[in-house]
Formats: sequence, C-alpha cells, structure tokens
Amino acid sequence: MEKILEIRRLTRHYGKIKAVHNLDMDVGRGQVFGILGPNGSGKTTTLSIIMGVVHQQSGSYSWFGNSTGTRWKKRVGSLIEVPNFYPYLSLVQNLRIAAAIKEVPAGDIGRVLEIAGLAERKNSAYRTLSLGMKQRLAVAVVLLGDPEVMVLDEPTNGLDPEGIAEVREIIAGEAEKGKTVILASHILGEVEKVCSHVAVLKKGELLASGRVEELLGSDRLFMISSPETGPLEELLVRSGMIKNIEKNGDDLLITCEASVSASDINRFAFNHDIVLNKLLPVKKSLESHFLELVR
Amino acid sequence: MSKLIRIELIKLLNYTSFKIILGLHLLLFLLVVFVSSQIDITVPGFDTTNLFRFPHIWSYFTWIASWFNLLLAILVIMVAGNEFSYKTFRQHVIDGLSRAELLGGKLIVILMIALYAFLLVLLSGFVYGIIFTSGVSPGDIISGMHILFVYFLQTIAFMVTGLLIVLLLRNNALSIIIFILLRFPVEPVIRSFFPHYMRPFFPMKSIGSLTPIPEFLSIASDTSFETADGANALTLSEMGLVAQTLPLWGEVLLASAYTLLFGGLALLIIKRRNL
Repeated sequence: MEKILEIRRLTRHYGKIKAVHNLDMDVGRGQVFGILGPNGSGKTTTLSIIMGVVHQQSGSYSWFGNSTGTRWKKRVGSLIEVPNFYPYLSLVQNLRIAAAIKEVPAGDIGRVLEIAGLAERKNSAYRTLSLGMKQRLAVAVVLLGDPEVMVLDEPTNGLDPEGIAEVREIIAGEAEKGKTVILASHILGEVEKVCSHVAVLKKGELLASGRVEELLGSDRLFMISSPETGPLEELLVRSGMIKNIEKNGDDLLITCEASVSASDINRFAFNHDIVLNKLLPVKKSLESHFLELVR
Repeated sequence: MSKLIRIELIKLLNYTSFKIILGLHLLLFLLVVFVSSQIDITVPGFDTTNLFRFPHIWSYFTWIASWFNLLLAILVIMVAGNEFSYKTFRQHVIDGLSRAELLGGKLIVILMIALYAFLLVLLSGFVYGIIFTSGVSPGDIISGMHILFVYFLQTIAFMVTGLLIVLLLRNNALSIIIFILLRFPVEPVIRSFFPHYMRPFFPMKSIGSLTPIPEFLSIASDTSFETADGANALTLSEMGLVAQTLPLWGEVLLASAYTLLFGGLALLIIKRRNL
C-alpha cells in the first residue's frame, strides 16, 4: 500500500515532559487513521510537528515519500487544535487568504461554505461567530481545494450534537471518496465510528496501533442470565467453550472464540437442562479496550 | 510573490486600526507642513519661506516626515503582532506558507508603507515647491532630491527594527513600548557610556541621523548645547534631534547594514521558533 505519511522515532520534549517520545507511525492511502489518547498524550504535538509548526528534536517524518519542502501541503488540509482566523475579517475574506495560500481558485470558497453550513453568514465578521460556527469554518478551510489528505485534531470540539453528527458525516463522506483522514481525538466513540485504523498514545509513546478490528480482537462477548446462574457458570467453565467469565450482577458476561455463536450457547445450556432467560451479544467497545491499554 | 501581496492586502485594507493610524500619519504630516508654511518669522538673515523652495524643501519635508516614523513602526508592530495573537502565522504554515514567506509578507507590508511615505513627501514637496519657488527649473527640483531615497531607507530601517522587536516579544503593546523606550532614553543612555567617536554607530542613532535637521535651522541650536569637554550625556545632538557626525553616505551604509542585520535576525527567529 502507498504510504502517505511515515513517522520515524519522532521526539519532542518540553523540559521534563515527554510530549512525543520515539514515535513510529505509518498511514497508508485511503485509511481513516485515528490517533487516540487521553489529554496531554501528545496527539496535538505530533500533528503540529507533521504540519511543520513545531520543530521536532529528533526523528523524522515524510509526506508522500518526500521529507522536504512545502509542496505537499497543497495536498493536505489540516485543522489543528483551535480555528485561527482574523477576527475583523469576514468569513469570505478569511477564506480568500487561505485559498490564496493553498493556491486554490476563489471559486471553491462558496462550495466549502455551503458544506460547512455557513453560506448565509459569509459576510459576517469572524468574531461574531459562535464557537461551533468557528469550528465549522475551520473545517471549511480543511476542505478547501478538495485535498487528498485531511488532518483533523479534535474536529468536533465545541460543536453541538447536530454539528458533531455533521462533521462525522463529512469525514465519512471524504473517506468514502478514497481520501485519507488522520483524526486525533480523545472521544472514543468518534474514532470508533469513523476510523479504519487506530494508534493509541500515552505520555507521548505509542501503546498500540493497527486496524480497529484487530485492536479490538476477534473475541465475542455475550451477556447471559438464567434462574440457575451458579450451575450454569460451572458448566460453562468446564465446557472449554469460553475464554473468560465474569459476574455482572445477576448476569454473566462471557468471552468466547469468534467461532462460537449465540445459538451454540443456547443449545449448550438447553442440552444441560438449563433455560436461559437472557442471551445478548455484546460488542466489545473501543472504550473498554482503550481503558485497558491506558491503565 | 503576488500571492503574498494579495494576502497582505486583504489583511491591511480591511483593518480599521491600520487605516486610522495611516490616516493620522497623513493628517499630522500635512498639518505640520501647512502650519509651518503659514508661520512668518522675521529674523534678519532668516526666511522660513526659503524652506519651501527647491531644493531646500526636500530636506525640510523629509525632516518633518521623519518626526512621524514612530507611527509607521507602530503600524508594522501591530500588523505583525496580530499574526501571533490571532495565531495566524501558525495557520499560514499549516495551510502551506514557508517560514521565509511569513517574513516575506511582512517585508512587503514594510515596503508598501515606505512607498506610501515616500510618495507622500514627494507629492507634497512637489506641490509646495512649485507654489513657493518662483521660476522653477527642472534642475532646481532634482537637486537635493536624493534625500527622499535616504528617507525611504530610514522608514524601512525603523520598520524592520520594529518588526524584529515584535518577532522577539510576540506582543503588540510591549513591543511598541520597548520600541519607543529604545529610541529614548534607553539607547541614548547606553550611548553616553561609550566614547564620543563610537556614539554615531548605534542603530537608533544612525537610522535617526539619516534625515538631519535642515542646515540653516541647525546653525543656531547645535553648538550652544555642546559643553567644553563633550561629556554631557544628552545634548540635542545626542538625542538624535540635531546634527550628524558621520557623512551622509556613511549613515546610509550603516543604516543599510543594520536593516540587513535585523532582517536576517528576523528570518532566523521565524525559522527556529515553534508557532
């Protein structure tokens, strides 16, 4: 697969704080690459370095196989941390500046304002916008010139639920068109819903990375309950069908191999004269996995 | 290049404070010129209207214009400082400008402001000169006009100094205060610790000396403030108000060198800094 971004042993310390430490990361074409981590784990620093606003102390990164120059930036749209605009300029004027820098025809400004839902406010001064609208304008700048790659740092910051859904839709739409997306977030649901790949950071170091499904593992989880929980638990443990069993109130949370289906469990219980009154497949969430990793 | 001009123009033309200060500069200069043209001092051997005749008008008008150089430096400090407070330098780099282009944009702003000041003095000098001089010949107009280019260099030098200060401090108000204090009293006081022959080589001093007070205005004032041993720290000439001790071409070389040095330092800072 063609590599869009290659990060090798990237390091940036601020005094004693290791913002980014020996980070390796590869992003391939068409991936929706999530960078997960708690606050202060180095997500923004990493993105700031690869966008050229912060200098690394050691290590390297390369975009599209080239490590020098700024030509590649024409192919990358990026929103890092907070939207940065001239408060006294109107939205259109602000976008004209961005379009000039990106060497994108000014005709594209109307399109991105439309997508961001800001067409009606295009002549308002930037300072009159609400926080959510400012964030949308920043997303509009990212979309300017229809770049191949989008780098987004907490893109749904400050947005209302509707706005969050819209931005997520935009990301999903771009991914569907084959665009590469690099998305940093501490909101796991966000990453889980849109990302194909994920890297987990903690204190500037990489804890895990890979495809989302791989990272989550192939195990299946079921929540079951029965009037005879005690004997059922014993039988299941002895059967060898399951990997793990946990008591969850009156219910049992069982972890099985991927080959085990709900009907297998039902049949097993029935064959042992136990009736289940609950059998619920549970999706292992990224959140639980994330918490396990970060702990 | 045209890209940088385009984005700087969008920023400047819609910036109200910029337009107000530029308007103030224009108004103050024209006001001083107008008022001084109405004053009639009758001292034997001294005729003020002579200042408005070619070729004296060029050195007189550039001298007046240099009073307001502070406003031009403040403009540059504001415009460049905004890029830090709005974090737009950061955004420009994210969007695809190189660090050198960030500085290039600001140098373009400086050139545009310097060009405005140059044209202001040129046009107003031309108009007043035509009115006050009887029987103008092209030779009269051109003679002494080189001081306009020296003034052009002076405005650039002051603005580049202001730019360097704001790039170092990243704060508008602080930079403006430091710039003002550096002109007076910081640099004059520091100068006073150095021997006389070294004093003309300080940046604010050498840049300020580019547009000297017109000769026949200075005759009366300069010597009277000089003390016998020359140790007096703040004579008028030391404050940069009166007289130069280097020949003009020397001042031009020195000021150009400082401009290049400060510009180079500005580039170094902008390249190394995290935005």
